[in-house]
Amino acid sequence: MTLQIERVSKSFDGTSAVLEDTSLTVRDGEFLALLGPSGSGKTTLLNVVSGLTRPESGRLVLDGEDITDLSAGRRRFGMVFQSYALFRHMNVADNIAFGLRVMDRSERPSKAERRERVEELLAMIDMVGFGERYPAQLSGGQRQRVAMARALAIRPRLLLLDEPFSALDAKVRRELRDSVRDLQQRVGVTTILVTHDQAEAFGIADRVAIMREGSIEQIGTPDELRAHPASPFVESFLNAA
Amino acid sequence: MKAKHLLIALAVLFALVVIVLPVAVIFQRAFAEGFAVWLAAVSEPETRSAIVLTVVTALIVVPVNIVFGLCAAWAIARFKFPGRRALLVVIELPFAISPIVAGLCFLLVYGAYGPVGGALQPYGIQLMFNLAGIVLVSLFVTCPFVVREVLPVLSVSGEDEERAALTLGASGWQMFRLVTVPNITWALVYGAILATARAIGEFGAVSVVSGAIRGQTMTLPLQIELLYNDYNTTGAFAAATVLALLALVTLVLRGLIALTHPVRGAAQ
Amino acid sequence: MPLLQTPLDALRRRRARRSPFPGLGLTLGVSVTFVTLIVLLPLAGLGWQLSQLGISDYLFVMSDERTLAALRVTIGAAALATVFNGVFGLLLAWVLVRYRFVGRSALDALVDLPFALPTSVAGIALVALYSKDGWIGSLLAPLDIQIAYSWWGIVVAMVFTSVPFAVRAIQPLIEELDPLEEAAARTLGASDWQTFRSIVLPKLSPGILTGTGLSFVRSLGEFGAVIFIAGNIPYETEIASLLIMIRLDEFDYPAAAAIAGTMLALSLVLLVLINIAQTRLYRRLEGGQ
Repeated sequence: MTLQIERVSKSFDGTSAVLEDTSLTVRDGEFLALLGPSGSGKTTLLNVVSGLTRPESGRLVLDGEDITDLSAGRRRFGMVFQSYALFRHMNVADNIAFGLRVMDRSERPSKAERRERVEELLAMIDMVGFGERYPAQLSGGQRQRVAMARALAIRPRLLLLDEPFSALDAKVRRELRDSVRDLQQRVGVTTILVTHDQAEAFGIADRVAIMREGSIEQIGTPDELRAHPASPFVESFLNAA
Repeated sequence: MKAKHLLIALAVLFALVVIVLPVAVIFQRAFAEGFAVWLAAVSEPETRSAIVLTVVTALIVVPVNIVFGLCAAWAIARFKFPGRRALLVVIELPFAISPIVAGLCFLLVYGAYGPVGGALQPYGIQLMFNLAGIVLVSLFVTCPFVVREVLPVLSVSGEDEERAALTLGASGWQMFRLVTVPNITWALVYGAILATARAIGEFGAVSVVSGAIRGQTMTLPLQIELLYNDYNTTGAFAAATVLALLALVTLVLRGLIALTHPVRGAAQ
Repeated sequence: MPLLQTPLDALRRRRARRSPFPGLGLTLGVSVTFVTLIVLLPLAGLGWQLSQLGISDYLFVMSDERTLAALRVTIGAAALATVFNGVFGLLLAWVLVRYRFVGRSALDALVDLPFALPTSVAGIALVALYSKDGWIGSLLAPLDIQIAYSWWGIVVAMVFTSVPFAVRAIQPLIEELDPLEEAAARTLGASDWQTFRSIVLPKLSPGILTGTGLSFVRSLGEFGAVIFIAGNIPYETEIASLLIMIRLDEFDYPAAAAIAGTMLALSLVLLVLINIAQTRLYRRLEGGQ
């Protein structure tokens, strides 16, 4: 899936602009990182893509289809939240199956199919046998993986990751970074990652878009960015990390 | 050490005299002539119909209050809109208004001489001095209970979970049913219990609008007054035990919920 | 943007800007309809009735000897009950937070009993207790003290129904106190009483203010518990709420509305004042740190 973000603008309280005429193309199957300091608008941009925030102007085009007015649910994008946002009162299996359970009757898989899909995903995230546990009984890393599985369960057209590693300690973070990348490759889903961590972005993404004050400052592969930083801001941001 | 024991003794004595004795005396008076007399008094036709009316009132008022409470809490917790603070203040107002004043207000608007009551009269609709009036003032006095319990819990928890549900394709209603409600269940139950107790026990406001027709528009608290003024003390105290027991049950339920599901500042 | 926009348009636009959640129209619609019909309209009715009355008629009702006596009786009894509840509410709250003893949690639960008990039940129970042949009344009769059917009965009923306000408002503040500060004061040679007065009491003042304030407002409006024990003799033991009822029974709606409006205004003004004073007290306490 190719996503074109075309001249999207967004402000809060109608005053200070968070996104200003931001445009960006996410290529089919790629892993793109949105990198920037806090307040650069990267999370807002992700929320606009997810459908949780409506832009004031601009368009979102997914493989030629205008999805700007599509609700978050109809977009079928998998999203992993910074807090993971697992459903506390549901066990791991029910969490993962949630997106399948709420599908329209015509598309909804049967109970047996849902169970099968959950097992498949549990295997994929290396958590076979954890289906009956509750989120409170899991470690931070396990929660993150369940959140991934839940997002992947609906066979998302796009995977959106909002600082998915920030709540983890350094060692777990490294491991999970590799496993997330690995999962993404296996599923082949186009992915956008939001992060403020330069090393993380460069270590995981095919391309990195550096954001500053609501616009894309520069976009390119890690090597390109390192070799040719387009502005002093990019340079200082790379060095500071 | 001495001060400590003196203070505890004083506090316990105060609680016994001021709070416990009045409740104890109800049961003493009600059962003074034996269980059979109590049973006969409680099953008097008038008292029975008062019990029925009280239960019917609660069965109408509490569900309406729950629906309103959920709506108000949702709107206030999840959205910013002009007048949000004002809405909160208005919801809390009934706590500040005394029962008789509340009853009077309803009479002035919904009574036969009031603008709304007067307009409805030609159609044969009467809102005061009957069940409708009792329900209306009960809705007034119970107005803040559910919102008060649900709102704090809703404001501190669940937003991200609800967002997640939406991105996973849940409709608004599915999100509410599967994610929001389980997060606020206990706060909701807690608020509903308090509202029930109040709806069952309200005296002042109901006595203004009930019309006090024997066997018809007497709720249990009103029936107690009637029996008492009729010098039927045993009957009055027998009816009072029913309400006192309900009050005790309310307290126990509250305690249990507070113990097992600490409501305030919830979040994981 | 159109020149004229309805509030609903503004709402929709804000929602587009801020909240991804569904249901604003429905839930706000239900809420506003409910509070309009159940809270605002009735209050407007009282306001409307008062506006029909005019200043001179209002003053005529309020300067009536019987009205003034009822207000005096009500306010006086509420004030005394409030003082009593302030002292014993503080005591109960202190004991509940600071000491561990058998039956503490039962005592804690009991404090809410007056909230849970319907007022008419409380009313007949208090008469039974304080009348001449009651458990307490019979003890006081030889001393020539009569509580039931007197002004003191009104005070007793008000104490019962409003004591939870005082306890529950003070309790959380005691929980937040830092015992180290008290220990520090004591090592500096302060006595228990001096420590309490200079360290503890100032920090509890916002709670005591709120607790006694709410207790007073509740007492002003209390009806069910009072009328059984009061005796209800005009000019002597007749409370304002009862006088409103009596005027209503006489179909004298203007007089009822005048007294009710006065009571309501008094309550609301007091609540606003409590709020303001509380904010100031907190600010002063925090400024001191």
